[in-house]
Amino acid sequence: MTIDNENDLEALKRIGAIVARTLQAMGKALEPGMTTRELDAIGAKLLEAEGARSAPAVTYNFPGQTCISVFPDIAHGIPGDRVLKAGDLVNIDVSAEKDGYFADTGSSFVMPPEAPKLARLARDGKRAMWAGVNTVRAGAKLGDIGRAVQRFADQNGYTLIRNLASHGVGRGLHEEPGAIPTWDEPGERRRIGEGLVFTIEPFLSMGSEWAVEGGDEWTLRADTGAPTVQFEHTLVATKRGYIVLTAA
Amino acid sequence: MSPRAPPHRGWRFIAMIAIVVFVSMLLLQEALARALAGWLAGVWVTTIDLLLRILGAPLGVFA
Repeated sequence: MTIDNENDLEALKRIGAIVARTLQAMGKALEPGMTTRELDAIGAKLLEAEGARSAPAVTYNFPGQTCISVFPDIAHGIPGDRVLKAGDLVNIDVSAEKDGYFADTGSSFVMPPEAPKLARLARDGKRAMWAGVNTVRAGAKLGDIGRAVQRFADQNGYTLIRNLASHGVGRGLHEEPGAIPTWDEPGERRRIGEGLVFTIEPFLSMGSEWAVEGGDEWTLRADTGAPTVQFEHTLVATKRGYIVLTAA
Repeated sequence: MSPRAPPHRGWRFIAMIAIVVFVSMLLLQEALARALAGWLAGVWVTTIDLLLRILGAPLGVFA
C-alpha cells in the first residue's frame, strides 16, 4: 500500500511494533530442547494478547502462527516436533494483521555455542539488509536496493537467494508493487513512490542461489545446502529516506 | 514471509542457450552431411551397378 495520511501510518506502526516485539521475544525464548511448536506457541500467545492475527495463517492457511525454519531449512518452515539443539541456525519470520493492517519481520538466530562462520554469516546478513534499507527514499529506484545488497554480498564472498523476494505489504501480506528483488536485477527500473510500504528481506548465503522445495508443501531449503540467513524489516519510504515500522 | 519470485534468466542462461543452439546446429549439420553422403553413395553405387549390368559385368566382381 501507499500511505497518504497519519492514521495509516499510526496503524502500521502499531502492527509493526507488535510483530517486532513478538520476534524479539521468540528469539530470547530459544532454548535447546524445546520444539519449534512450543516456540510458535510463544509467538501465538503474544500475537493474541495484542489482538493481532497471524498473517500467513489468515492469508494462506499456513499451518502455524509463525514460520520457523531450522537449518538446512531456510524459509517457511512449519512449526512442529523438531527439537532445537545447541548450535542450530534458526530463522523466525513473524507477520501479522491488526485492524486490517499488516507488517512483516524476520530474523535468523544462531543458538549458542555459535560456530564462528555462522556467527559471521548472521552478523553480515543483518549488514546486507541495512545496505539495502539505506538506499530507500521516495523517487529512488527499487533496483538500487538489490544492487546495494548484491555489492555487499560480492565484496564479502557471499551469494544471494534469487527466488525469494521482498514485497509490498500494508493492507495485505503480499501486495503491490509485487516482488522486489534483493539481488542485482538490471531490469528493475521501477521507482519508489512516497509512502510506499514494503519489506526488505535479503537471504544471504554461503554459496546457494536458489530456494528449492523442502520436505513438505511449505518448507524451502537452499539448493546446495549452504548455510543461509535472512533479516527483514517493513518500512515506509519518505522524501528524506524511510521509517522502519518493525524496529523493536 | 517472502513471495517466491520466478527465477531470473541472466546472461549466463542466455549464453547457455546460445551454446546449446550452436552445438545442436553443428551436430545437425554433421548428421545431414552424413545422410547426404550416404544417399549420394547409394546413388553412385546404383548408377555404377546399372552401367556394369548394361555392360554385362555384375557389381559382384568388385565386391
